[in-house]
Amino acid sequence: MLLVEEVTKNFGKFTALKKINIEFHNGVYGLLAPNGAGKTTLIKMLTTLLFPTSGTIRYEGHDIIKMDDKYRELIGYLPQEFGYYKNYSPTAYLLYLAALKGIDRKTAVARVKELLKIVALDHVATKKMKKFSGGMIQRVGIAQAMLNDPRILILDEPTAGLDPKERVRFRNLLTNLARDRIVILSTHIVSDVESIANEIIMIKNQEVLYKDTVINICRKIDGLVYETEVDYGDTEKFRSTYLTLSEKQETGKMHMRFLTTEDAKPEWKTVHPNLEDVFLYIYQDEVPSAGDDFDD
Amino acid sequence: MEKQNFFVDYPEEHQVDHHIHSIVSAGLSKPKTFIQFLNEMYQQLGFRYLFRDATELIFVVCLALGVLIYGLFSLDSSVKTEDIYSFIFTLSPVLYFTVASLFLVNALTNDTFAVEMTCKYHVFQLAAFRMLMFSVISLILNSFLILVVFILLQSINLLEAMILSFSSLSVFSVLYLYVLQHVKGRYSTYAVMAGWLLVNFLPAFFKQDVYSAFLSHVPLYVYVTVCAASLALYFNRLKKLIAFRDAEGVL
Repeated sequence: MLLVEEVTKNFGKFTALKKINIEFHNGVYGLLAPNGAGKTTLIKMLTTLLFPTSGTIRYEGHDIIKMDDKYRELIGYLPQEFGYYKNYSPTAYLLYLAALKGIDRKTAVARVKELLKIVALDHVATKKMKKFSGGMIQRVGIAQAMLNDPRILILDEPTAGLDPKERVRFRNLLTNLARDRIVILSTHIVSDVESIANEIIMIKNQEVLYKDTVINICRKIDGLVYETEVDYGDTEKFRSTYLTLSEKQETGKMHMRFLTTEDAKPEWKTVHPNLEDVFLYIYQDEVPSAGDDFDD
Repeated sequence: MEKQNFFVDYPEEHQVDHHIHSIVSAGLSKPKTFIQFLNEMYQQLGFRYLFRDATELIFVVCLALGVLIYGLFSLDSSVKTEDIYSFIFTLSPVLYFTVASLFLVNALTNDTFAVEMTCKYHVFQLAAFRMLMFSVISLILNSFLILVVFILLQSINLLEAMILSFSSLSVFSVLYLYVLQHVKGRYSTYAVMAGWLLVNFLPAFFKQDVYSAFLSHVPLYVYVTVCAASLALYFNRLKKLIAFRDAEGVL
């Protein structure tokens, strides 16, 4: 069990996170918040790249900072900006990182081969990475995070640059891995975690707002989400009156999905809220526009 | 009712001691010494990964060496012995600084830093090993350069020049490591080199005679003491670099 207790992180006078308490057991945890909400700060504290200003993080009862290399041996980490040496091949780079992780050469060679197959890079295993696409680099990053078969897998925006097929494959891989380890997935892409996360953690105003299952979080706005059709001419007025969650042009009208606490009108159809609706509702003051692309 | 007597098989004294010892040693792992740690790291990583940038390293060392040798051969034969000592003292850390800065500072600012810092052997531990090697290499190359000077201009005392160079290198290395660990910012170590050159060149520029005379008249035992003290401080700094994690300025 990984336990975050009363953790606060300040950068000078700026407070990035305030008295955070989270308990992680085996399973997938989706850390969901807009950019700049403190996700990466929390992730960096979980990987010991940053130390809490106050509070502690414990793994199986031991302070992770005091555990030092014993803790680092247990984690796999994919940072938001995954760096690599351009003139290295994936095999050479993974073998280098395996050595740094304390894995003996013989085990590392077999593990690298296995992982490159899992992330579908076995056909370019010895090619220099400078010619790789963003998605391929990201897959190298995912492979390196799994090198030491970590008990805690921490991934910061792992699906950036992956195409839809790769995302599906990646999600399936995480679901499999999470059976006997903690997988923490930080993202602002709702679809990445909606289907696979056992629990979603939402951070707002430097604090944990929700830590619950997708179903329970969606219940928070049950009965408040509707769909209706609006004439083009009335679209602007509608947008300024209600929190629009999505819009689509259909049969000469605008098909609107929106959220309101007003009593329902006859032409409105009640729909089941999804996690993206909750995200847009919770962070409406931080999200520029409900129609914006969240995959940016 | 008759009282029942149980037989308790108490362990022997040596068995008790043995169990206590095994419990304590399992619970309290003995910290490794600096040398043990470096040796273990070398066994695990080998030369290949500790110096994965060996080609660039050799290139930069050769380049710096070439420039310094060119400088030596351009020396006027009428140059005063005292001035040579001041050159030796000022320029001895240049090689060390060049290799250390180019590759250590790069490692700290590289995108690979975050991943490498979360590994069992992290960037600063690798750096400690490399810095130690860099100082040994610098020491050997500086000695070679002084030998060249000695062959070219017989007027200098070889032992004195060596000690002077060693003192300069060890004092600079301690300063370098101290700033690296205490002053945040990408260019802090560059500032150390610039400061070193200024502090040594300015007096040499304005009062060349006084500065050179000072360096050449300091008794040998003072230099030896400075060397010994700096060496102790240097090892202490390297040990601290192994446990150094406060890299927030870099992140």
